[in-house]
Amino acid sequence: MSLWFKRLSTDRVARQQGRDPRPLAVFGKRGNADCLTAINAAAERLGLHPGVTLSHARALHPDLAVVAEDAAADAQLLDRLTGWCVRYTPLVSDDAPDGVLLDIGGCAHLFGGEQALIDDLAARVAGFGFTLRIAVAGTIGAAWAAARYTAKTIVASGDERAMLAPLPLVALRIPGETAATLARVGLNRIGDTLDMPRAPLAARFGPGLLRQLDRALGKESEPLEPRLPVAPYIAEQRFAEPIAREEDVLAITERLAGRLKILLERGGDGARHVELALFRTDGAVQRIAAGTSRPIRDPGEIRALFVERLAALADEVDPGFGYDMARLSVTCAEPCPPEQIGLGGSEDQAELDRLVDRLSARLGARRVTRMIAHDSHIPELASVTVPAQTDAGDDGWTAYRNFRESEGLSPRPLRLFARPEPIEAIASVPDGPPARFRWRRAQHEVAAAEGPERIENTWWNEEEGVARDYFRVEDTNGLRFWLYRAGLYRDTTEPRWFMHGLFA
Amino acid sequence: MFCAAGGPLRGALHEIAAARESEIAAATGFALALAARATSRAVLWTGEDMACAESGALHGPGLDLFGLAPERFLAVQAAHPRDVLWTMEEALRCAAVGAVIGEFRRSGLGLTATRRLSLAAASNHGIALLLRTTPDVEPSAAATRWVIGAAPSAPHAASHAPGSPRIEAQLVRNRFGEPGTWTLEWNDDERNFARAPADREPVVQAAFDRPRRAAAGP
Repeated sequence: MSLWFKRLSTDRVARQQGRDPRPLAVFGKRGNADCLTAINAAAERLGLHPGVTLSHARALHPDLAVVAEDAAADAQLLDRLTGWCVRYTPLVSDDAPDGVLLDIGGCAHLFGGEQALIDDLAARVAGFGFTLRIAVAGTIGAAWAAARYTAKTIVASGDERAMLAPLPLVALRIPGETAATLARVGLNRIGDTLDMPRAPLAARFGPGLLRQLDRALGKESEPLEPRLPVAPYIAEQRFAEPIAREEDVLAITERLAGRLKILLERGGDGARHVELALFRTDGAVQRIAAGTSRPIRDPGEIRALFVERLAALADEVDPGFGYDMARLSVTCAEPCPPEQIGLGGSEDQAELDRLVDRLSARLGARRVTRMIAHDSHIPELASVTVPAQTDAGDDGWTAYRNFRESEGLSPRPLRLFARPEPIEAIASVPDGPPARFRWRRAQHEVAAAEGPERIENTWWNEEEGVARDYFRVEDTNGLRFWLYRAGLYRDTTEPRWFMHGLFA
Repeated sequence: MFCAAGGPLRGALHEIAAARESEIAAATGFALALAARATSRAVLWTGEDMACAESGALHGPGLDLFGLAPERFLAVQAAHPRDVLWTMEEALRCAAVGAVIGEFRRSGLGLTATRRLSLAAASNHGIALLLRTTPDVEPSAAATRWVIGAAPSAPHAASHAPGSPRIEAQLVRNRFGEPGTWTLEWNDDERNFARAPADREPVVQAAFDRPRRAAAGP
């Protein structure tokens, strides 16, 4: 099924500025001249068409309202329309600059047949204020051509050839230059090429023409590339009356999760990432995603995730005039043996996982972290924070402790600055610890120091800096710091000093 | 020695403030030692983004040396103080979490917020610690209030290296007993703070557990 938003740009302007029956055109630079790129119905009735230069159009019709084109806004609008079309089928792809492709092969019966689906879609899109041409055909190419060059809405399978034959060659979605070259040798219609010997055509015009022809006729398959990855598990619900209250949304989420549970159990899977899509009556689609730290199926737990997400998004989720459809998809599933559910490895771990999920849902997964260790001298690499929801397997701390003992690492600070802060330090011996230093405008007199502990940077990271000489120092007030001198003393005349961490 | 009496600390809220902002690491160390001793369950730290930028993020190898295994440590960075409070309450109500440390840069949480935290701590017998960058004078429902400062250590005579960390701990408010002031030294073998050996001043009686029910009255 191919949708063509014939007047996407002018409809967009009209939606922003209010409906206006007067002629309107959108212009943009084509070559060196400003040309009309889109016009509304009233302007078309004046005899204008896209491609006319702006000065020409103005001379003919002084009262024509013109607006500069905004390709980014058009693309964004098409993206939103594409997102909205997902309510009919998950297999949706945008067809820039002004079309959308839907694969309705397996879902038309849910809406009472193709015609009923077309009527429903057309009525809704008209309500949003867009001029739309719809065509359904067995192939993407045929639907595309039928939407743009014919008045047909449904092309029965087998009729593609007859439908395409009288259409101009550009209806095959071939570049304009190829069509112009074909016109020069007298080939204007698709029908002219249908029965020609294929070898000379391919030799003269390249494989593109024949491939497009075969695709339109269904001799070569052309898969639709869905805009969003299709979720393995989906449950959805349409409402006769729009819902708006948060409790209703949560109740419906739980009901959908109940349906998903059956599907998940059948597949032996559990949800690691779920997405709730709420389709607003005015066409906006709100997507709320939540992750979990282990595969889950329990509807109550899924509901609890969205309680937090909705609380966190309080202002961003605006129901407007209500939602008329909700869809819950499991966007990432993982095998989950049935006995794991409810019991878990240990009750404490399951309890902790639930807490991590709740916190991650509300605050964002990257804010809830745990630490994993690597056997490294370099402090930034030794301990790495990862989202607590990621299952990294072994956290490496047992190995790190052995490494620390065997290497005899000096004590590490309790708090470490992500970015070492430059300090002004004066050392009494050239390669010794500083005697005093100034950090954050405060002067510190060093009373005791230990070091240096030289930490060499990895050779593949050389631009990050050279070796560092770390010192553990205590000032006269008892504050303990971890600071370092960048570079070897003999390599530089003015060594740079940095504050890297604080000891208790 | 005070941390050894972990029992009375559980199920309540405690405020630990750095004497000055630069002494936050000493206060952090004291809070972590308290948390590590009080529970064998998970320990959760939460603070604003600002806390990590200004005072540094908690460093796993450092925690490990301080007696808190990083395996049972969770960190939550929040964008807003409101989220820090929410995280603390959620975590305190989770049976798998034994101690929650919330770091605040701003003063004045108010009675309501601190009372909520106390109740949450009591619900699961967890320990709730408010870590502050400066001492707070606002009213609070905390059971104890500590002001922790850094103290000069006894450097090694030969190498002049800093000795075991020492802190100056002031118990300014104690619902379970008398307030007092001590100089404590970190004991690496026992993974605990103990009275510094040089400290010969008379010391008030240590905090002890006054039965809560008796305190509440009939």
